[in-house]
Amino acid sequence: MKQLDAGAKFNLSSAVVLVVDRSTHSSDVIVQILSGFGVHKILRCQTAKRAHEIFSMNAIDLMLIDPEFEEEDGFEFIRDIRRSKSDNRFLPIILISGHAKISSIKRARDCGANFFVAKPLTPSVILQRIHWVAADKRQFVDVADGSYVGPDRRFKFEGPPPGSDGRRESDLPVELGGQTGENLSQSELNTLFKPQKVSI
Amino acid sequence: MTIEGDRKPKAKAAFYEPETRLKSMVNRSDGIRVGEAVKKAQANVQSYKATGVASMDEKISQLVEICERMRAGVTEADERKVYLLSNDIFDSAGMFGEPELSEAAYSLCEMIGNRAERVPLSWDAVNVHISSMRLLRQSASDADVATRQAVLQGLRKVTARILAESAAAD
Repeated sequence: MKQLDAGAKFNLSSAVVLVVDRSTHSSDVIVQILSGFGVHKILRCQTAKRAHEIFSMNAIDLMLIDPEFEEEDGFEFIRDIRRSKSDNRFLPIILISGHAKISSIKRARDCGANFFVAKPLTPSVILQRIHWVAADKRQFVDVADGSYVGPDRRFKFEGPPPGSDGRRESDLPVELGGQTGENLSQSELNTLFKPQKVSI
Repeated sequence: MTIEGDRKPKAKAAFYEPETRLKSMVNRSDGIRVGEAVKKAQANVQSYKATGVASMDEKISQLVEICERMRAGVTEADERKVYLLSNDIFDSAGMFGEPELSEAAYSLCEMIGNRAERVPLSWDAVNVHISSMRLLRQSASDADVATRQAVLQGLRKVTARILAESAAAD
């Protein structure tokens, strides 16, 4: 992921951003940061239940969420969004977290968020993640058994891990098949490329 | 090589390439420059500092109250509150230039959040963290860096011991 060019321009004035954080103070800070970036419409709430309501009534361009709630499960909320039939299901989600419990790290990876930002937040890191999310070329994966819906968790695909033949139907084995016929002759290869003489 | 017994049926998946409005927004050349936006955001955060620090002090006071209550017995609800409050203090202190307080709060989160369930939460360990957080907050402008570092070193040892007990219990 490349660093941002300080001279590059962007325009978030028409963006609708949803900030979900149990802590009023923390969401105040995020709102201050987003306002500095020129975002005018910032929706905010402190519970996953309220976020669900906002999500179902508004077209959201970006969501920033801290999944630690008093009683609700923020990771499950993101999973619900990804599994919903709403047009918002593909919305870019940046997960913001303070201290991360070991038990939460795998859940954070598997809930379907696009990127992760660790607190304490800084404006430059938030802006960088927004640009990363916008430029993200990963496909959106919807596994038929519902085990995962979200951006491809593979940032780089270098074949199935050693000792396995992959998880997906589209994963091809690394091993090459055996030779099934004679090698092509040079003239047969030439025919494939159709080389022709040209006069310059 | 694949071990036959470990083979799971491969999952079927649909793939999409959704277009987001965000992509076009960050590529628009009629907005503000990245450097200017970051400066504005930093200035906005600084203008919020007094409110943020007051909120942090309020949260430390809440921790002190809960800690007093916990002396009689640790409940799951209080443990959760202490975890969430110290997580907030970790964030605020880090953002508003009090790294030692932030680290002390993080140590408390680490001790509570990554402790094995079967290892009981020690009131003494919670109390020493909260007392240290108060001390670090009160001496934030103090030049005695060595003392503050010594306080942090003590907290690191407490948390490391409890996590080692947790690892042994697993």
